Amino acid sequence: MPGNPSCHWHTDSDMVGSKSYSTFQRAIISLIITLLCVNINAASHNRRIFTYGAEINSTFTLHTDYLGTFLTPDGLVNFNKKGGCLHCNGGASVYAGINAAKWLNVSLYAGYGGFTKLTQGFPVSLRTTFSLSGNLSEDGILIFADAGMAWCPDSYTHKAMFGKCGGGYRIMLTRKFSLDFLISATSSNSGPHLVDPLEFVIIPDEKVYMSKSRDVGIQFTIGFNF
Amino acid sequence: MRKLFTIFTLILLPACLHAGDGVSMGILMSPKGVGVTTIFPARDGSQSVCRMYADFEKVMKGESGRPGAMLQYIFDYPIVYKRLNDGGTMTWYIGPGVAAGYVRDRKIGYGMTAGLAGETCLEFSFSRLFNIRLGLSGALALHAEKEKRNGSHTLRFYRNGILNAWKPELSLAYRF
Repeated sequence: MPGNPSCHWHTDSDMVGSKSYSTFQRAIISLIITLLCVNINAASHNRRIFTYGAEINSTFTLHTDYLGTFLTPDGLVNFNKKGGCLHCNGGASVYAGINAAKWLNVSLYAGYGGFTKLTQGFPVSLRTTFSLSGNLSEDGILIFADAGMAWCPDSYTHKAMFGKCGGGYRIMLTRKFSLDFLISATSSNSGPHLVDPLEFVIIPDEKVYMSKSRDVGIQFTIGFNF
Repeated sequence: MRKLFTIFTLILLPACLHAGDGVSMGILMSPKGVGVTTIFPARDGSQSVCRMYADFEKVMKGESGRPGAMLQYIFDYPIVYKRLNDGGTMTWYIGPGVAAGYVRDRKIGYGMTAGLAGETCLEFSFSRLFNIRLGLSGALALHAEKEKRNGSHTLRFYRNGILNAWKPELSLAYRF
């Protein structure tokens, strides 16, 4: 605005002294503001925000794609196994999350479970759950998507990645306690110890160059929500 | 396996005769194994619990794909009863029983197992016809492994009966 001495354009020299925030700080501030908004929204509708609980699951692996390379006195040997494989794994986890809306829950899961043969670990995942009935505090159908990583101390690669999506039904046993019966399609990438295909013994990690296993299966879950 | 089902049926018969109203049937989940459970409440507050589960010794770690089979019949006595705020009830049970099965033991192959069993558990009952039981159980039993060479049996103490007693068991049953 020409003629107004109190008003001027910002220049780069004006920004030198201003405080800048790192990406991490911005993320924390955004999270706090989001939580406050959710809290105010939930309080105005008289519903719970924070949720926690536990779940147990059984995974039936239906298809596995395995690739391993190991060293023998005759040289490197590639071992590839692909096809149907019925194998069962189990797991248990606890979670904490927030009801971002009446019909939407976002939760962080942590626990212990198996991914494929000879590979167990501690998975951490983020799950988003939608209620098709429009209210997570009532009986109704749920759908969810979940993805995360796992630390597998007793495996070749020491880590695994997994994802799952599915649905189920929620039964409210009391006003604050509910049961979830879920079924989901699950997929995981892991690096199990390599087993010698002829002698059926675990090959030492020093002789293994690669070990990858991709498993696809069906998971049945029972969840307890408080 | 046919013998096991016959034994299970024989175990169920006295429980059926003993049962009052509100029989519950459901699933049993534990690091020890997965199976089915049936709970027959008696008129005096005690319960007869019959369960059959696939024993996961060496299966949980992926070392084998073949589970064993275990049967248990336990007679639970109520110790503490409490009514919860949300309308449910909580009961603490302790009881003795018997166990039999065809399972692996630690570092030992398959064999017939039989002995005494014991359980302690918390049962939560709700108005929505579901029972949730969280408990621990163990067994003092003997394990007879059949030698592959000459067909003779080696009788040992069933170590998993005690060493796996700390593993929690969760059962979820529907009340009819």
